This record gives sequence, C-alpha cells and structure tokens, in this order.
Amino acid sequence: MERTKTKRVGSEMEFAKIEKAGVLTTVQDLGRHSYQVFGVSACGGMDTLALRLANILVGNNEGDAVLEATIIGPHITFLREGVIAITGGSFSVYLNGKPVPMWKSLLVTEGDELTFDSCKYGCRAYIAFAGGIDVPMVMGSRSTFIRGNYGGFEGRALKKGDLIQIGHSRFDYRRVSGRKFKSGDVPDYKTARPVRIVLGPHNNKFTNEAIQTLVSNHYNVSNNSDRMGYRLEGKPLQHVNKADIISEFITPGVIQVPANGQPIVHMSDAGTSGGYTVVGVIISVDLPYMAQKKPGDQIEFEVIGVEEAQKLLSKQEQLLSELQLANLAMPSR
Amino acid sequence: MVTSMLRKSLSYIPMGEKTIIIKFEDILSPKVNKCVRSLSQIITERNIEGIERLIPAFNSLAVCYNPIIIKFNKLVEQLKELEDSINDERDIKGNKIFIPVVFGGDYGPDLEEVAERTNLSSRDVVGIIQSKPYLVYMVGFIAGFPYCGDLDERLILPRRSNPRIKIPKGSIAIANEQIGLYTISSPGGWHIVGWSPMETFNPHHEPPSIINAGDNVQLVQINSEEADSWNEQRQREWDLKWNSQR
Repeated sequence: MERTKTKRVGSEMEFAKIEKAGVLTTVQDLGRHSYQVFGVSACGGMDTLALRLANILVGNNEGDAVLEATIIGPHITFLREGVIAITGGSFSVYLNGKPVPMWKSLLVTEGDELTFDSCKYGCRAYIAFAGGIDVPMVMGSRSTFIRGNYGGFEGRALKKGDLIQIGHSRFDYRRVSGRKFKSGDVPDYKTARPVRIVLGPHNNKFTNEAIQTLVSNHYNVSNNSDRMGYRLEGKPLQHVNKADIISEFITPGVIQVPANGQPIVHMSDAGTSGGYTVVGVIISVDLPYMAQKKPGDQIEFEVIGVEEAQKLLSKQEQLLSELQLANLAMPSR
Repeated sequence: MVTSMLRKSLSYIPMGEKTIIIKFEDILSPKVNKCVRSLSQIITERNIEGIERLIPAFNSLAVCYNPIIIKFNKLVEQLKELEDSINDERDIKGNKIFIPVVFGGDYGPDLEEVAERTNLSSRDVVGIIQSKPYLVYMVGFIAGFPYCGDLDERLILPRRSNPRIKIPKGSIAIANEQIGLYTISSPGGWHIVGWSPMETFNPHHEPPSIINAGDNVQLVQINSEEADSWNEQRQREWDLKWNSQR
C-alpha cells in the first residue's frame, strides 16, 4: 500500500485536545513493513481496512496517520474547524452530546466535543482528521510502538492534555464533509463468520487430526491478547513431532502453535521472527475482522487456497481504489 | 557451486497470500545461512516485478510480494529458475563489528550461574565468549535483535525456565548455541552475561541498525569504569580504533 512519505508543507496546526484518553488510544498508520528486514515490528493499525476507509472519507491518502481507540474511546475537544470521520467496530459516538453516525465525515468547529459510549461489537475505532495527524516519521511510519517507546505521539499512548497536530488537507475539507459510503461498502463485523486461513508453512508438522480440530472447533480469545497478538484457548492441536523450529520470519496474521497446542495469532505489533510451528496464516482480507475481536469472543477457522486468498485481496483492492477515485475527482486546493 | 543435496532440499511454501518462505536444509549452519544470503542477493539482482522485500533468516528466506502484481504460482516458477545460481562460495561482504562489553556483576547477572552450570570459572566463560567472532545469522525479534552464533559448545544451555520481565537495553545474552544483544529493553529468557554501552540500534537513525544479517560480531571486554563513563567521544575513539573499516 502506498504510504505517505512526503512531509506536508506549511506549519502544523493544533487541531484537537485529548480530555480523556480512553483505554488505549494511539496514533497509527499502515506501519513500517519495509523495515521488517531490520528486524523491526511492522506496527500500524490493527484493522487496516477501517483505517484506510476513515482516511478516504476525509479526503486523505489512505495511509495517513489516524487515532486508533480501543474498547473505550477518547473524549476530544476540537480547537478549530475541520472534518473528521470515525470508522471501525460499532461504537456510540456523540458530538456535543448528540449521537452522530460512524462511517460518515463530519464537520466540527472550535469547541466541539467528541465523546464515545459503549462499544456494541468489535473493539477498535479509527478517528481520521482531514489533513492527517502530524507526528514525526520514525522508520518510514507514524505508527506508535509502545514496547519500543518510539513512533506516534512520543512513542506512547495518548493521555489527558495531549494536543493533536494535523497537516494541511489535500482538498478543501468542507467539500468532503457529509460524505459517506453505501451501506454495502461498510465492513460487516457483526455477522459471525469463519476467519479464513491459508495453511502453512508448517502444517505438515501437525497431525491430520490437528488440522481437522482447528477447522471444526471454536477458539476463545483469551484475556492475554493485545496489539502484539491474540492467545486463543480451545481444543489443543497436536504436533507430529515437536513444536519448535529454527526461527523464521513471521508477519501479522500468522497462527503459531507452541508445545501446549494453543494457537497464538500474531497481530500488528508482532515481532519479525518466531521459533514455533505456524499452522496457517489469516488471509489479508479477514485480518481486519480478526482485529475487531476482543477477549471473550469466539473464533472459527476455515481453510482456503492461496489462489483464492489472492483473488479476494484483488477484489477488495479494486473496491478501495474505486472509493479512492472519489477523492481524486475533487479539485485540490 | 552449491551441492545438489542442498538444492533438493529447497521448498517454496506460502505464508499467507503475500509471502513465500523458501526453506533450505533444516539445520543451523553458517554454510546454509550463506546460501540464504546468496539467494537473497540473486533475487535482488533479478529485480522481479511484484517482490516488495526479502528477509533472510537462519535457514530460510521470506519473499514478500504484491499478489495483485504477481500470483503465487508464477512467482514460484520464476524463483525456481534462480536455484542453480545459488553459490555458498560467493563473496558476500559482511562487516566485522567490534562491540565493547563489560561482563558479570550487575551488567551480566547470569554469568556466575552460567559458569556454575558449565563447570567453568567466570573468567573462562568470558574468555571463551570473546575467543572468536560470531556470524549474524539474522536480525529479528521486535527491534533489530542480532541472532549470532555459533557459541562454543561448552557454553550451551537451554533458555531460562523463567524468562525475565525486563532485560535492559544493551544486555549481551546467550541461549542454546546462540548469542545476542538486546537492542531495546524487553522481556526475555536468555542468560545475561554482560552489557554493552555501544548503541547498535536507534529507531531515529537511517538505517536503524548497524548490525545486519551476514555481519560478524566480535566482543571485546572493557571494565565497568569504561562502560559507565561511555559517551559519544569514547564511541568515536572506539570506532576509530576497531570499526574504522565500516
């Protein structure tokens, strides 16, 4: 995906103030995948689809930096006029106490207050600002990596009193205000469906029964789950021999199974190497759905072939480029 | 040329729909690792459209690609054509990097235990550790952790049964036949034998890491006074004396 590399011209502007940070609110873009060769975690938004769609709604490049909120959203005061959009799991969102829709760009003015209430399903919301959040690039990305204490807003989660600066928007933001997607283009996180995986690289190190077990049982997302990975609990998966391998590259979406047979799904903040057998990898188009799962939720898996996964990805990218075209059709400022 | 046995053992396995793992012989060996880097260089030179990046590991190479540009089968076909060019004799220049290390005490809290469990003196352990340079097989973990080897077999111990919650940045640690350097403070299960004041990873530098796969790392003992008073000036002097060819 194209990442915004260009530094925006003009001075940065303080656009919003964090009154309450919520459980875990961080600055994220599409991550620093090109630095994986240096052994650096990719990071970036967990639900990249919602992140990209939020950016498209406000006329940004789809990889611009946004806020990722988790389970309990932040309370934000706006310091000047601009356009925002909120996407992701189903949250109740209010502007000055009045309910406002997600998946629609909203004009806000100085003094407006954005608040969140309970999250009905899913667990992550994305708040995009026309112009994109302006924090320094670290290794090609504005994504926060809390474990490494770098990226995003001072390498940490946001807290009360933080001031969010944004860049200049590519377009007159008033023109994108009120934009929304057709309901069919909004991702469905609510309807339960299996998470599709491509088997391998080490599926042959599991018994045939283990693969059968994986696709015919529910797995629960344990409390021990975060941006680095989800530990799942369910019927254990048996290895033919042993669970350890000589360490290999791993990437978000990988399902590792250590000797206890309980799967671990690696997510955005995952390391770049792992020494346990990988039974399969969640396909890219289903990773956003996975990213909206929270502790206590259940997961079912379904195996598909790599060719089918590639077709599904092409289809999704086709749709996204069509949505992007609406931005390109706008006169730039 | 590469042995026919090695070539036979190459397999191309999908890791999801955007990565192919090229798996070499299932052993930990500098020769196999050299073949991995040789293939990485060959693929880079071939400039196949759709490949986004190559990530070498101990005995495998990850090929990350854009399936909208090139599909799995087509890419495997093209990659297979390059097998014959793999050459473990090929001159792949890695840097030799000298790292100052203070061993034992608070800097290496597991040194004594390592000595005890291997029936050696602490002094012998330190001597053995710095007796040779180590090949950087790969960098990984979460921020450029160099996995180096092979450690002298007298020092081989499994990982700690109880991993530490926080290992300080700069710690030098061993586990199994490997030795590594914690580039950022993080949890870890390796035995900490020493600490280096030299910064080898900085997310704000380009490139972020001065230690890369294929390099050789030589540890050099310094004392605690030197370590505690380490600063930019000392680092410059160190690099001038030891790392000037970099």
